[in-house]
Amino acid sequence: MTEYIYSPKPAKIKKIRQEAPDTKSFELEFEGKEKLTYLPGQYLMLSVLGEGEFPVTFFTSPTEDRLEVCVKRMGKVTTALHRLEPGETVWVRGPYGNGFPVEEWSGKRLVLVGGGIGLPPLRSLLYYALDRQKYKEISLVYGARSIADLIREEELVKLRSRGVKVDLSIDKEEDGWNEFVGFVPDNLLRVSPSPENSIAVTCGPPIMIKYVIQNLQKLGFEAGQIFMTLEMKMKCGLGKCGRCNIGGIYVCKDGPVFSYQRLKSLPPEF
Amino acid sequence: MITKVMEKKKLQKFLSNLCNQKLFAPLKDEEGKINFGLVKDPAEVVLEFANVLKPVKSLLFPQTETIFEADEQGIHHPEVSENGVIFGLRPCDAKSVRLLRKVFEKDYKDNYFLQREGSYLKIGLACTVPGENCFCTSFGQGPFFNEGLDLLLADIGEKYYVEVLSEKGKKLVEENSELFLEPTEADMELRQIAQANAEGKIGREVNVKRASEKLGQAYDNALWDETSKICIGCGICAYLCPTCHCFDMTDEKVASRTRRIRTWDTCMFSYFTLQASGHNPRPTKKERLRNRVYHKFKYLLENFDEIGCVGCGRCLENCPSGVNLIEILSRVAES
Amino acid sequence: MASVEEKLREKTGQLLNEGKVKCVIGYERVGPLKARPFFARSPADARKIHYSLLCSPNLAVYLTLEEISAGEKIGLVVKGCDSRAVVQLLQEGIVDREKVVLLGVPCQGIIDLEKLEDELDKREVLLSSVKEISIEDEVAKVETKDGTIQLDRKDVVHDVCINCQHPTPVLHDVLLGEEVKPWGEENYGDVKEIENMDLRERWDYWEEKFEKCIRCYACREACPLCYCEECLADKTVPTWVRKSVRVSENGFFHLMRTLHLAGRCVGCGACERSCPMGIPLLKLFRKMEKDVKELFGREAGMDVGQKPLLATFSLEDPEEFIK
Repeated sequence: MTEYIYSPKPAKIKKIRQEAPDTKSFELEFEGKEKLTYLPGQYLMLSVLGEGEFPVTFFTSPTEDRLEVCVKRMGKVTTALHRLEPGETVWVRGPYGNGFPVEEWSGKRLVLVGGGIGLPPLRSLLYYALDRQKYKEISLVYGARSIADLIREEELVKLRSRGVKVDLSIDKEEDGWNEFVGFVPDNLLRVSPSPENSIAVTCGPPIMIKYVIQNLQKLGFEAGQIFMTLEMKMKCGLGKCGRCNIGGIYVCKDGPVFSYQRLKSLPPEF
Repeated sequence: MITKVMEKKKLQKFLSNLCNQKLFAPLKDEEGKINFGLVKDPAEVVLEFANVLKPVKSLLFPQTETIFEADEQGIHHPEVSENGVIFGLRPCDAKSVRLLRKVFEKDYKDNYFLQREGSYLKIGLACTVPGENCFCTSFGQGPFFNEGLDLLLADIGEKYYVEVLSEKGKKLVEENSELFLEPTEADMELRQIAQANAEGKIGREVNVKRASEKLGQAYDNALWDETSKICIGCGICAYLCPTCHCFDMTDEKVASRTRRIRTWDTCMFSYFTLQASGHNPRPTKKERLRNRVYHKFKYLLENFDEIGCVGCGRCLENCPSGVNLIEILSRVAES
Repeated sequence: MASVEEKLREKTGQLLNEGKVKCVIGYERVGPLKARPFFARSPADARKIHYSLLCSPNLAVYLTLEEISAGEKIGLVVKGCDSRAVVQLLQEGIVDREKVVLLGVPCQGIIDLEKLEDELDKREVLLSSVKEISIEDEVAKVETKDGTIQLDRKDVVHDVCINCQHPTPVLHDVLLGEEVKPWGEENYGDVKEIENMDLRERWDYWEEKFEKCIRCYACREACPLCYCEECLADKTVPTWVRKSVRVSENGFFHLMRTLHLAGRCVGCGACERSCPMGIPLLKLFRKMEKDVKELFGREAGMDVGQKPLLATFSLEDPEEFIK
């Protein structure tokens, strides 16, 4: 039987939730309630047939009972996706990518630092760590431009009752906000997590990642302790179309998760 | 290896027989350009030419290819076997298939390419008179290189010397046995002379191995800024290159159906890596030209153990601005 | 008397020496029959500047390709058609006149190597034996290893150069050669050939040509007047031209580009010369040029002060479509 590697399978949209002004999360269900096996940090190539396909990381952890992705409206396909209603079908293929090396991190302290639409892979990792209970300590430093731009604020605050240290921030003062006001990298410095036996994972806008890495290093984190998940324009997800390379590695196949150690050895083209 | 000879006067009959099997061979068009085309009349096949303009990848990896069509019933995949014959392949083009196959085979098998490529019978024509921009010998190949072919024909005067290189080739020769003769000592000698002459005529050379090694330290070399200045950012070099294979995937709406297509793309276009957010990891021509050279001479080597170039010279011959890959590689080799 | 090339080298050297410009964009020779664009940045580079009938690309294209000026002053070598492209860019407010020093060179025509090869074939001379070509009036002198051949100018220059009406730059800061006058009247014979076809013939003709297009966009990138940051052909929202490469999309792209260059194209031919498939693109653009002349009495790239044609209207504009 000929194998067709670019062919997606259908997934019905069970529920849609508005997470931020231009961001929605979509709960997806496969035919026969098939459960997908994946790792936090991996991604799906999601199609709105007739519009196109784009890569999206998992919002949920494989330990949760549902599958969700969270998408910001940016271009042709994501705009079309945002127009869909529950009950309609999207098409997916995957999971692709390397995912977070969760086994290697067993027993470590996890420091998750994210901004805006950078939350999804961190959320997936966070719930995985909580549910698997193999990690010493989990803390999250997350911020957005405004209260409205924070994704799942209520859910994240509730995590404090499960032992997760959660520090949230918004860029500018707003009524009703009692936590840190400022940028995520600055909040990180204030929170000042210990680098001892820790792994830091960051995801967000490129400029935020740059300063987060700087500040993590100031706090004593080594390059090998800092991980990030990168975003690149992708078309095949399989290392064939030649587009998502950074030097000799393909973000779609050899990533999207990279340690800063590895990234430093690659050309600055991301 | 089985070897035969075919008298030149028998070639038309051979081509005529091949026409029954869907024959692609070099044909000249209204503009005087020579390209592989479907042959209706074997007398139209061009035999005197340096190389076809669009490389053989245009037949194996079509510029526009349907990946699937989707409607209410689901996803439908196209047939991808061609079962045809390609005649007149130059050794460089034949060799280019090796890299393409490796890329489309690794980890995930791209059957669109693999099945199509496997369904063609390839008959090569050795370059007795290489083109003036050819530098295939710099890659350890040459104008009489026979890899990737089922048969290789070489012009030795009154006859073609024929190397039978695969089971498919053997079967074809048997099916047309009346057109082939056993080679004589004289034939074999003529073949050796033709090859030596052709190799001697290759006018350009570059130390590919040294260039490839030096690329590791050449990232910040001024040459990328200098050479990229004259580049106008079109797709000629990549589209006419036998080994370039980057592609795009888009959806087309056809009535109530969706057609997902794969089309050639090139890292030389400014929007190749442009993200929807507006961020572009390779924002100027310098980064793009440098990336292309690195991709072909370093990254492909690292990932697939193959250099992404066969020395056909099409890029430097057709570049409207005179960007010269040999010059770039030489500068890297000497840096 | 110094040749144009010698004068050009001297002027380039002077401008660079005096720090008047950051670089001079001209041509350099890279083979007996090949010249290419060259960015001269130092007095040593100035000595490599070359000028001949091989200088095919329209250098005005570099005025709008990224990072060129970035506010710096540059020198630009311009032939007749190139200078008109600069005038057009000035009309459209794209170029800062103060930032460009125009080194005008009068042009005898650009050699069409295919036409030359055909002529030499007839005389059983190899193209590879050619050393130099020069033109004086209607005669092209071709120096080969074995002697000199005289050919008709019309038979060796690009078709579009045969009756060029502006061989001498119309705008320049310095003119480095004698003024050259046109050789004949413009008769648009190539355009009329298509106009005389009936609709079916025309469709078949262009279908065959557009079939060859590989959408490399060299025509667009080589054109000095195609400077849109996002070309309509690349836009995905909305999708005007699909990514699939076939007659419908190719044709749409070329016809759209033709319309977008109405009243702007200066007929330099860089597009057709850059096309690897040999598509006769100039026929489309010259048809547009002819129509614009007939309808509006306009010629592109002649007067910096003129307002762009399609950005203005006059009460005298023809209104045949209103019946």
